[in-house]
Amino acid sequence: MITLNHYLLLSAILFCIGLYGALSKKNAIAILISIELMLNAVNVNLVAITKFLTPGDITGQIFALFVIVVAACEVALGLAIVVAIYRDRSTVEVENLDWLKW
Amino acid sequence: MREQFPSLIVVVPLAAALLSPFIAYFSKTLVRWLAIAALLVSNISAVAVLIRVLNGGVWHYHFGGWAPPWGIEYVLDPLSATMAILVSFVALVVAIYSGPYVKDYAKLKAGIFYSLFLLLSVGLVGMMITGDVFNLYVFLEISSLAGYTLIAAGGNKATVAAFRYLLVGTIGASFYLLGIGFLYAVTGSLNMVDLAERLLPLLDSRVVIVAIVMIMLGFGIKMAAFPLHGWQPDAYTYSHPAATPLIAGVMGKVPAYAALRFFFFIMPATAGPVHKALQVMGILAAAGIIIGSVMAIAQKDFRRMLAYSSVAQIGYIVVGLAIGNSLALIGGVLHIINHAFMKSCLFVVAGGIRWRTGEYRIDNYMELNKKMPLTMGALIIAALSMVGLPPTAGFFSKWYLVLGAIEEGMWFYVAIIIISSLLNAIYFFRVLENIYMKKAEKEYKDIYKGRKLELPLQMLVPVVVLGIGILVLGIFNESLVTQVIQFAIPGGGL
Repeated sequence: MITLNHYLLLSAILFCIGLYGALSKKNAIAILISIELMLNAVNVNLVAITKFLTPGDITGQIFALFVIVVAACEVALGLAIVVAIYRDRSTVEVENLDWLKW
Repeated sequence: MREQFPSLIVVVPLAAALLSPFIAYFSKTLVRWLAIAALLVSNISAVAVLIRVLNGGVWHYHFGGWAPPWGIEYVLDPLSATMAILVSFVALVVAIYSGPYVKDYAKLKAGIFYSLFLLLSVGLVGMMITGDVFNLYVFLEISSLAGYTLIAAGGNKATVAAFRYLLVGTIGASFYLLGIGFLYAVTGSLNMVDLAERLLPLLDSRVVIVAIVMIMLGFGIKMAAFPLHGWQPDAYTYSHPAATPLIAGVMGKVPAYAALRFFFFIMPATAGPVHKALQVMGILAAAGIIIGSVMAIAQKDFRRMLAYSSVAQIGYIVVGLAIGNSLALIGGVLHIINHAFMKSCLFVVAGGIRWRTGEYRIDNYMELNKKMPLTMGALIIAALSMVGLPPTAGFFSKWYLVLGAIEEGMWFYVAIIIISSLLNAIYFFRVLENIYMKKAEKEYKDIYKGRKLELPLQMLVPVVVLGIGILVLGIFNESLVTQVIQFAIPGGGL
């Protein structure tokens, strides 16, 4: 029997994997994918909560749709910026992007 | 019509944002005036709303006529209406200022610039007035996405700054989203008024504590509170010069206000987990005030100096939240308003100097007072206000913060605020010294001899309006506090 806790656990694991990837990956596109994973973990969370706590309601599903739209915008924008960086520097490795000082 | 003012605040600039790329095909001038007109309508609607709520109390506006649990509710109280006026006013002024930058653009580029600019304004204004925590996320993302693009439009260094901000900002937003997901799980509501009622018995449960931490982390990243400010200096320095005053002046303040709303209106912040979390944020903010000021002293680039000074100034607002009594909250709210004016004024001046002379290094600002006297006058007012000298606005917010800290016996914060005022004085007087005291070298003089260097009217008007605005805010701060802010603070007069 799969309960709410299983879904929440799945979501937490996905979120942590995404966060780890976003913090540790060197490739800009890999970082973007990791962030997508974080947002999808949140989606799993929202949908599962709605399904188990308020069955028949679709609030969580609607929110998930919103989040998917936002995530798509973010990835489109992120990739556009990556392309702009690549045209300038011929690299997408973030450790090579040392144009800025801290 | 009068019943629909709250929706006009958001809908008019949003519609203008969608239209502007098409209108730009016909005329660049038209699209600029469209942006200015849309922001003016938004601003006037916000003023009308403020007048009504000052007379008639809090206004719960249901978007499209849908009742709260399903529909989106805008909560308009004196505080949120004032903040909406602030954001739409700064956006309006910066839209006027952007004219000379856009002049040489291709038609489509100008249209897209104004479209993004309006979307940024819509997102920021919407965050101020919404009464629904998920709607807040949507507006946060609208403003952030437009903000990333406007930062990336600043040139080749800006793309890296924008990419870093995009990554960090998205992580922050997903933390916020996960936080409200947990709150929804335990309460079954996302409406702020509902949440406030249903959360009261649950405050010490583990889910709520996790949610508080995540929401605080999300807002902290978005407002560039001290340990989470890594993206901010580059983003403010390299972003599109016509949008920088709005981005630097308002974009960091809006999440700070949203955090205030979250932690003082939805949850009781005087005790329990929120109180503890705010204490931690307060200590970090105090460290950020000192470190941001010291970093600002070390900078050679004027824009970058201002960006680091913003790290410190956001610290003041967080300290206000951390002290948490009504005087400190008045100080924090007043500082949100004052700092939005001061920082946008300073960035308008910095952009103007760069536009006119191509200079952004402080060392090369010699004798600018002879070339652009009015602009430098505004710079002096803004700088004195940042330091906190009495007739200007900056003094009063720090005054309330210090009074609040004394009332609570938190002498640590009093010391921090006074030390940081001295540090502010060091880095701003260095700029003023370069402008007024140092003699320009002869060749440099000859280049500019006989040339009119004062900014064109479109840029000069925003500079002067913001400069005078700082003085007006300072002089009329008492009526602002007693008429508006006091009623909006929990336990501060209602």
